[in-house]
Amino acid sequence: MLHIDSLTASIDGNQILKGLDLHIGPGEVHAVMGPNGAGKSTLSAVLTGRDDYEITGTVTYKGEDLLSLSPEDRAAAGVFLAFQYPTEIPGVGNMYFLRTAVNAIREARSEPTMDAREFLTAAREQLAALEMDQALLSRAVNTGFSGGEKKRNEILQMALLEPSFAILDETDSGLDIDALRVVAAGIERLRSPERSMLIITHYPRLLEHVRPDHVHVLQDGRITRTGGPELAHELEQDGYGTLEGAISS
Amino acid sequence: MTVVEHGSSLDALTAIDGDADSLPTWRRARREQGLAALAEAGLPQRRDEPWHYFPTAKLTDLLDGAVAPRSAGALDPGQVDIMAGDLGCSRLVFVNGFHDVGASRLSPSDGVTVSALSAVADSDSADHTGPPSPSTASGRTDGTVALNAAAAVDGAMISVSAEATEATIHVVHVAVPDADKTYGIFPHTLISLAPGATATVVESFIGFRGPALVDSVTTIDLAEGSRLAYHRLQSEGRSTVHLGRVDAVIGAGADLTTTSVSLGAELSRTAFDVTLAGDESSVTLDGLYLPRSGQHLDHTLTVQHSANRTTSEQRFKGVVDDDGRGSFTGHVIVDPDTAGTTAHQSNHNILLSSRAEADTRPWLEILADDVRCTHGATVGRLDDEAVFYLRSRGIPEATAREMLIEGFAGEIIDGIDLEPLRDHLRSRITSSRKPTATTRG
Repeated sequence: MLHIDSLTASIDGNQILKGLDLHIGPGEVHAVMGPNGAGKSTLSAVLTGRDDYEITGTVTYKGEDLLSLSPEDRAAAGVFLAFQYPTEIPGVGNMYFLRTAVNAIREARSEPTMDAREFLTAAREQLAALEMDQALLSRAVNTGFSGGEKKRNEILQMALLEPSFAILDETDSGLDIDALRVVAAGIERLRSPERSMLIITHYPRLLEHVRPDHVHVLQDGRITRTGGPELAHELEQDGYGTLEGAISS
Repeated sequence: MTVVEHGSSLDALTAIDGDADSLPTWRRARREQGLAALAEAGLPQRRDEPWHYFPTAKLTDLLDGAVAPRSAGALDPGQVDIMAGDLGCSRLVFVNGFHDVGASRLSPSDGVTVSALSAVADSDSADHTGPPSPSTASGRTDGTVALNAAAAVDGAMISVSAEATEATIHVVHVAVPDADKTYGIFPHTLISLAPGATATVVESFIGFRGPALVDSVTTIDLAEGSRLAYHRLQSEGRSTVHLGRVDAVIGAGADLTTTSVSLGAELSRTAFDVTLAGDESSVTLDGLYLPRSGQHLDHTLTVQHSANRTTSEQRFKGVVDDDGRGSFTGHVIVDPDTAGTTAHQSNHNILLSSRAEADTRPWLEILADDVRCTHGATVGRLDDEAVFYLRSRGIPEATAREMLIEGFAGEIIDGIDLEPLRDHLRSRITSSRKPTATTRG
């Protein structure tokens, strides 16, 4: 599904990713954990096509060179990022935005587009599942949304866009325990043998709700350790510092 | 003096066929006052502060060769529907300043008088129009206002009483230029609301390809407790020079809400001059301008707070593309010995190209103490984060940018409480943003 090999990324002369390798198979859920500044958000930015970085290495997605695609072409190919800080877009209605996005992707895949009624039915169903206020559809994108509403809106988009590879960047940050439960349930519902996920997180608490198949530790721009779900618990108890010491010894 | 240098062309524009005594009362009186005011004021100069951003020399040059169109045109009503929008209400159409009866559509409504001045019986015209003065209540007149008074051949007259239940009126001014000469066209509209009356007036300035000078004056008189929504669209042909002036006097407890959208013409200046004359009167001036290649679109607003507990709000937005230029001046005057004034002003601009220019100028003259006044202005680019967010959802970059532009502009359009007008404006904005639009008109 996704093969990241020897990936480096630099911005303004600072190398953030320093030769990262990561392979994700179909239907697998991987978690990448790491301390602040390890390069977690840079990884999501590079995979979704932000053009601020100088990049070396390769990223192959379903056999295609992902790095050569524009952000919109990556989305059409099935890549989705749930943003850590979803952007507020005043003046652009959430429903109009969502339907434009869904239909842009459908058009790019030569699939039939959804009319307004069809779309509204699909959107309402997902809203209810995410315990979101219907009124959020008629508001401007993320504008004036609470932190929790913004994160739910990301999962709503993921549900409607049906990606085959979703990156969840610090989706648990800023959520209270009830919102975390709803968001995690939303993610779990989208788990399928055709859909892979990369959960990027600082804290293991989301992983108590969405159990990953593999956990990786990202430190100083590289994957320094890989294990099963139990690795998340170990990190919670011992922190990243101990682990770093263990590796360098 | 400019007036002397260009006397011959101004004479040509203000000349009449035959004897001045044969003119209807309203026109004779207005013409005389206009000529006197023009001789006194002269044409605007660059050093005149309200004309700061406007190339007044171009105006002088243009007037030099301008001639008055001599006859009424006639347009297909369907064509007017397309160009100005069919708002489903009474409509008065003027072509090059002359009333076009065939394209107009008047449905009688209790308490509402809508008429061309030329259609009003001479004995009634003075009663209906009040003193046909070219100078404004504020005294802030200039040569373009005086020229309009001296040269206008007709006018739209709208008066609404409190008994009116439905008063939505569309006034359309169409410029039909001549291929060989520059017409001077002088639209004139008078709107008056009786105490407690409510009305919506839309004024559209549209036109065909060709050189023309449009110099329009709209006068609004709001009696105590009345409410007027006034929306103004300028989408004239690209080689036209447009000068628009809207003067309003707002009585006690009355409210004026306006939107000014500027899309067309090569060079355009729209000036609002509002006097909050009665206690607890209020005005909201919204506006939007979208200049692109070769266009300079200016708005100059003046609001004078002359009574107690008055409120004004100015909200203007600009989207400037190619080598276009958008200018905004927001002049707020708070008279001495007034209390409880609130005045807010904002002007936000997006530059879409490195050659685009935006001028923004708050101009505050606060002569009282009890004032809450804010102003904010920005000139920036389209938000890169927002573009990336939309693209990451599969929306192509060009579409993403247009969505953001529409969203930015839409916040002004959404404030209009008249759905067919909102729809028309949205489609005009969208079509003006299409690359082919630059070759039109």
